[in-house]
Amino acid sequence: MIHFDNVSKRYSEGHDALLGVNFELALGELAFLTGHSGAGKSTLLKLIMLMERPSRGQVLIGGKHLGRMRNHQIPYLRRQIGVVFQNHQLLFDRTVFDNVALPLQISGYPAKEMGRRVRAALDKVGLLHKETDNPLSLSGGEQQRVGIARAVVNKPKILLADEPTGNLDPALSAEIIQLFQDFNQVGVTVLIATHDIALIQQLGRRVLTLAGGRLLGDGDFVHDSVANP
Amino acid sequence: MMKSTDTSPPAKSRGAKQTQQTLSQVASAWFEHHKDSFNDSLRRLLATPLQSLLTWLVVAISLALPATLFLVLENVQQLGQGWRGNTQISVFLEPKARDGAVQKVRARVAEYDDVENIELVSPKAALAEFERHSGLGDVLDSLDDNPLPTVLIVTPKASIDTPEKLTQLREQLIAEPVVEHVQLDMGWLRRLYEILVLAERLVMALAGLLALGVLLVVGNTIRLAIENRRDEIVVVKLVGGTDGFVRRPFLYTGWWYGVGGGVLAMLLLAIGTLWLSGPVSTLATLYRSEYQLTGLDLQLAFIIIAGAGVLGWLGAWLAVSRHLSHIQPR
Repeated sequence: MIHFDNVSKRYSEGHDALLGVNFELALGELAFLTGHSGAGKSTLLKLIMLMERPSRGQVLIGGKHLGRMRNHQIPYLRRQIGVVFQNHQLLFDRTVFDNVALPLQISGYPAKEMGRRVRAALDKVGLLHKETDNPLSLSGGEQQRVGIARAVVNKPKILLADEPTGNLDPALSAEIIQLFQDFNQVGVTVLIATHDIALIQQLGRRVLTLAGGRLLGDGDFVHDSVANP
Repeated sequence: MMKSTDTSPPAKSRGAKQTQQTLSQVASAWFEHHKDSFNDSLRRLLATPLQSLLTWLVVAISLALPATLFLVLENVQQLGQGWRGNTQISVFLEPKARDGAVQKVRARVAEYDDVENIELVSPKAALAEFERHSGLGDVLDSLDDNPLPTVLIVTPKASIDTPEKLTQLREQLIAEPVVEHVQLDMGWLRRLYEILVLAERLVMALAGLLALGVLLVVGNTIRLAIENRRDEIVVVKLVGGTDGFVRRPFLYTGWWYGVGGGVLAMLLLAIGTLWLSGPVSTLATLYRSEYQLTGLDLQLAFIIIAGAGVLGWLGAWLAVSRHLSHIQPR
């Protein structure tokens, strides 16, 4: 589903964010992406979203070469990928419902179908009763769940998360991660970037470890590679 | 607090469902978004009434100025046409022309398509009138012969309203037999005509400049609106909004700025016309004229308002195409 083939990314100021990264994430797989801040986690996610383009190498999403994708095709790629951000990226000039409905509105769903799907997504994250609230009135954990509802409302094949538990306490973090596991169980390919090592250790899932732009570890969690890169 | 996954459909149907939208669904959604943008952009403008009113006023003044000048021009042209109806051509015949020849010429000129009326002034009648007006009776009495020729006073039809057409008529009259001289006081007419042509061009140039002004004012206002909604644009782009989707509300905002300004301009113009029509008709009565101030007709007003809408749209397009591509999710 996600395939990186010898991918490097050098920013214009000469900083190498990624160096020769190879990995493949199969359909329906869940993996964590870890490493210190500045290791290249965010850059890797941005390449999948085509927020950046690689300097070298190929990124394939669902068998499609992103390098061959024109700028005007990018929106249609992004509609197939749900993204959860550390800072939520919610809009505070509209209700929770309208925030979650945004991807459907963009894709052009009829109002009735839109209402049904938004409520299903909000129900899934346990916030159905807050649909008319402004996201500003919600707690950090609730805001993050609104962000997750928005990411999955379009039923994407891929779900990306960039430090989704960054600002949350361990109990809330566990709830959020459980949500991602739920989505994974129904076939969504999930990639979660995090440096929350304690969280990863509990789950025993596949871990991709980045350090200085290189992929150091790929497999079960290896404590040393993160602690002493 | 959180529900388990058992309510969700199995994996395969999820992926498929996303692509199940029919073409007609997409088309109706596209139409729906146009409608939403149309309404929502107006709602946003009305939510900040004072700010919007200021922009509307700037647009309105830029439109009202050339429209007023255009109206003035239109009215002067009509006045000029009224005067042209009074243009008369004096055709002096040879003094020795016989009566028969004079009558023949008169009959032929009366047949001209361009001639409204023809009047014959005999030398005797002319002399009598001259005596009456000049007070030189004694001097004239001392003359042996009547020195005045027979004169035909020709009134052209109202359709002969340009210097060119009058000159043509004059040439035709000169070519007639026994005609010695044709006098046509065209200087003032030619001058008025040229002044009007010049004024028309000036108004057009001014209108062009002010239209550019509207374009830039709307463009700048939209640029600020784009800055204000930067977060929203970033999020929309992140979740797969196309450039068209992002652009649409701003284009409609520009359209509303234009249309609002156009309506306001027409309102200003109507008030101005109403305000001036009283004094103008009083003045016209003093000159024994039936003249009345002409306002903008409904069709022209509609065209100006729609044109202003298009200008606003274009201004927004300028701003959007310059600034929207700079806003990318990072």
